[in-house]
Amino acid sequence: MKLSVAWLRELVELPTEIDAIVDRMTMLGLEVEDVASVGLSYPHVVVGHVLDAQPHPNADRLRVCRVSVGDGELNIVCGASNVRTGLKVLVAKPGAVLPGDFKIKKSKIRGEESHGMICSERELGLGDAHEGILELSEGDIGQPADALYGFQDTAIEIEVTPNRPDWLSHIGVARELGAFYEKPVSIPDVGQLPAVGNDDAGWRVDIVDRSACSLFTGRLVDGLAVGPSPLWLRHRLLSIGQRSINNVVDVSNLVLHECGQPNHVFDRQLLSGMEIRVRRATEGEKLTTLDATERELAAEHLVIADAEKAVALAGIMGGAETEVTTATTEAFVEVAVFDPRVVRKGRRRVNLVSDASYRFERGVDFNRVEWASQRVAQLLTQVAGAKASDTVIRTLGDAPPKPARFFVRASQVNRVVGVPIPPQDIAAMLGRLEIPASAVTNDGAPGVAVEQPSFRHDLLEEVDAVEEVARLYGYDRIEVMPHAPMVRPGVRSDRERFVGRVRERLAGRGYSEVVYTSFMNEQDPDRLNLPATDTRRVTVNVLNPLVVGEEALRTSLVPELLRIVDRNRKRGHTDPVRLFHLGRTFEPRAGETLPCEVERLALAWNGSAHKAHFDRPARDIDLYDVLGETENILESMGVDAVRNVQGGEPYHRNGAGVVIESRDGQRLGVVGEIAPSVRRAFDLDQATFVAEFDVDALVASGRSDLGFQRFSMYPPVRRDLSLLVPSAVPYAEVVGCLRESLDPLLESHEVFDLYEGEGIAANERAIGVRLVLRSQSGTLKDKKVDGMLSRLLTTLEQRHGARLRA
Amino acid sequence: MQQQIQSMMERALSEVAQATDPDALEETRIEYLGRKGKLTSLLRGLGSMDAAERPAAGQALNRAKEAVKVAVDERVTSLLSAQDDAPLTIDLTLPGRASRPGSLHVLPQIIEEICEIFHGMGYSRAVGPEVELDEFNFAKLNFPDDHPSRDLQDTFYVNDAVVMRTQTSPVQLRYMQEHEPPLAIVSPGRVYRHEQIDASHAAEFYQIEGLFVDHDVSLADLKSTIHAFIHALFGEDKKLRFRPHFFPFTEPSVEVDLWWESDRKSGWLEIMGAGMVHPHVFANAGYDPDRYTGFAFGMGIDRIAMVRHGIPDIRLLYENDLRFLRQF
Repeated sequence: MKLSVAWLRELVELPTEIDAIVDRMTMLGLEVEDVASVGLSYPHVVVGHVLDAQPHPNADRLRVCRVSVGDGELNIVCGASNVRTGLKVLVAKPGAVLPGDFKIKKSKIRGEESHGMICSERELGLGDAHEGILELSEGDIGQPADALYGFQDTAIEIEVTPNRPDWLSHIGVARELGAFYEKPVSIPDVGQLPAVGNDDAGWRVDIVDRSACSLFTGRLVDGLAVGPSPLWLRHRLLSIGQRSINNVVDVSNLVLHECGQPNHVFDRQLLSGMEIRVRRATEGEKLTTLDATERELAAEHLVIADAEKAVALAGIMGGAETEVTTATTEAFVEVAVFDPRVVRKGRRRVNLVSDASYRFERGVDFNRVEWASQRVAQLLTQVAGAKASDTVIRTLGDAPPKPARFFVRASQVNRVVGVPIPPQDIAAMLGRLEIPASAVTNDGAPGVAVEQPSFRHDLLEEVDAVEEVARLYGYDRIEVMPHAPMVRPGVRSDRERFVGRVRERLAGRGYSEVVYTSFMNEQDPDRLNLPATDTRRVTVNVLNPLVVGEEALRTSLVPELLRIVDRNRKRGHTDPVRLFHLGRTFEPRAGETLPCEVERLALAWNGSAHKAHFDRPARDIDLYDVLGETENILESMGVDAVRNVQGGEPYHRNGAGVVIESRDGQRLGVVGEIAPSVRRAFDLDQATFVAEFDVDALVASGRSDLGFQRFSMYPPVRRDLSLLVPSAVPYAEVVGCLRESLDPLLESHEVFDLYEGEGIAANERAIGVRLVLRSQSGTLKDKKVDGMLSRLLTTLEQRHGARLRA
Repeated sequence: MQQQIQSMMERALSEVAQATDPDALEETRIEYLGRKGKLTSLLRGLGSMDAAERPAAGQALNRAKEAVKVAVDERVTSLLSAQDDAPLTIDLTLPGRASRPGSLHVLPQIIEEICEIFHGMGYSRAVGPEVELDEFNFAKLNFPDDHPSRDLQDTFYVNDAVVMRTQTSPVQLRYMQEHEPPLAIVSPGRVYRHEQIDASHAAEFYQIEGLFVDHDVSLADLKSTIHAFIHALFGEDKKLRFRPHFFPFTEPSVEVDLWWESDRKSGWLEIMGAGMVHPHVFANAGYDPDRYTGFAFGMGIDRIAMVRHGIPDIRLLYENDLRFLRQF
């Protein structure tokens, strides 16, 4: 909402400096969005007198005028039909710049010299009239236009929080500033309020839905002369960014921005019957609103209707049919209070926010209604030559608001604000905000009795008044203590520790952390090749997605991770790509309102295994790199993980995915290569690998007690075995035999060679295994080792048909 | 004999002097001084000599051995030192062999930093669901049903009763329902707003929420906490401004502005919202509002990242271009 500083100054005395006012507003809670100079100024535009106007020799519609501008005469070609000798006009001389950066220069029009321009209202930015040039009744020849039409003001745009609808008006903001500066607010004098009646000249008002409208007033105004508004009114509206329409509409608008009370003026002659009804719309009823849109109404809309039909959407917008026009002479001025929820529902349904609906939704001042009605009548009398009726038709609905009355403990103010403020001071502060308050004692407790003013919908109980006291006392005056309060040292959960460590480690190993959307594309389950029965096809969906097709919350971190790999490749990233992401997946739970949110860790690999170097050419990353990396990371996190090769994901390449489990068979996650078809679906042209883990499962299987493990001080024995093993026997089986035969002396084993091909039977492969054996209790003797290895070889032979390579 | 020793020693010394590398020298040493070396063999010949000549010959032999040994050692040292000092002729400007370090995303980095600061101030971390009951996200946080305050946050709806949380504040309620005061928690996490995405708006972003509840907690405590925190995060010299604001779940409510100076612009920058926990929220969490007071605060992580690092467009945070990620 925009505020005019000049207008505010008329209502309350304010500091000269705009900055001081803006700072104060900010510190009172009025959020200032923008401060701008506004106004109209017309250098090189002066009052002129048309000495004569001759037809243009070469153009039918143009005239060549001789215009006196005080210090001389100008020859000006003018196209307006109303230009004639003797007219007093505004002349833009060469050098003038009119609104819209319209520069006036000497020119030749159809062969005739023209030294300026005679202006219309629109060219001056004063209004919409552009049919002809502006005809002046006042002003001296040569007088600068600024003296007649110019004005300067500052517009402050504020954002008003929903709790303070009273700030949606100049009077409301003036009241707030007055309270701070301790200056009285001078509300315009509207004279004696007229008598109140149930009807006037046969006109009556019937509130059918009494819960939706607590007060409705109507005022009959006759003898209107609808026309342009006087300058002061136009300037006022221009200052706050409102267009001038005509004197009647402008008055209605002005009163809204002055006191915050919406109101509407109907052309009374266009209303049928002499009865106004405030009722619900019938289903499908039609109304064309002022914005020339035909709207189909529903039962949740409250309308103002005449004897026949709806003529306005109550509290939202008037109807076009009964709008005030230049032909209007008799008006019906409506000022009412509508239920905030009813207006809110209605305007949401028609998807229309107006100045009126905005205020009704937040709450207007019940006790300001009759004043506003009188103010409209007063101004119409003043600027449109009208005569208002002596009576206000006033009809009450259900339940006029009852002010809340409550007690504010001085101790509570002290407790919350942290500053002791005596009850008398509290009462005085509230009093300055026009909140009735008096220092009293309640049950022996000193405090303040408060009554809610009708313009403060937010003041309902003690805490609301405490805030007012804090605000007026000034948040900036509350002292900062040297120590922040503390209850006990903070604690960290296992998950928090785990996640913190794994992130650091991954980054240290060359992985970049990525952060991305929780939504997935509806086609992602297909792209991932998930079978129809896969639970990841069952998603939590939002009803109002930003993008159609992206309503589902992700059930896997993989799809978007693949897109990120792809994006980086497309943008020319050539180095190895190693990414990780920590985030949640969402799984609906039968019988539960909220889904299960699973914290997951995903990793992606793509490209070469390492950066190319001059003596070490790049090599494509493969599954063994990925498995090794993954297991290394898990091991470093204290997770004792094993591979289950009987698993993998539907999106894994056939035979290239494993499930990672804890020793006790708990599923931790999966690692594998993306299937070529899935890769194509994500537009990736290189081999890509992903892993996805359940973080809580990792945390649970990680070593939480970091107990010391004894290690041997005796020398190790190394032995290399070159084994011939049938190809069908997986290495894990060999390891099983190693463990069985050599534990607890087996310290480590590694595959230093793997060979299939020439020199070896087709169904066999040679595996070179390097063993490290060590005893906790003494130096191992060769003889003992030889004995154990020979037992190992027997086992390998008997169980798997493996033997030493000759 | 003496002569034999003398000539053998001279031969040995001359071979030592001519040796050009430590390996050849070692061979020379073994040739003369080894177990079967030439000088060593002479020593064995002493046994067959006259007893009278034996001591003198023995002494001469020992002197000769010692002289050769010293010469060998000296020659080794001098040869090694010449070898050690020989320059390595490689191109020292060629690139090293290394894998690139990874990176931590700037948003979680800032979350961790903030949590670390609050950890030091006695706060523990709490988490809550991102798909949240409307009741917890709004109603119990004192957002009246169908009230304009709900327009402050455009919402993704899962159904009438379930929303994507628009703020981390519901965690306050969930935590209070399960814990008794005094308490101090921070809760970082992802939040969702149904907003069109542009340079300064994302539909999914990060917030961190704080809650402190005890007997007699005041606005002064809140201010002191925020000051301590901001100074830890942005520097001791930073100026702050507390101005009144409105949040349904706190009263009084404040907005905190940070004085920020950069090449482009200087001025007050809205950095966080805060306030005293509204008694209705306490009541909804099962606390007695007369027994406890407390404060809550919340801030946008994305905004802090953008301000601190001069990131011009929020979308950069979620695009995950490696050239962006590696900068932090």
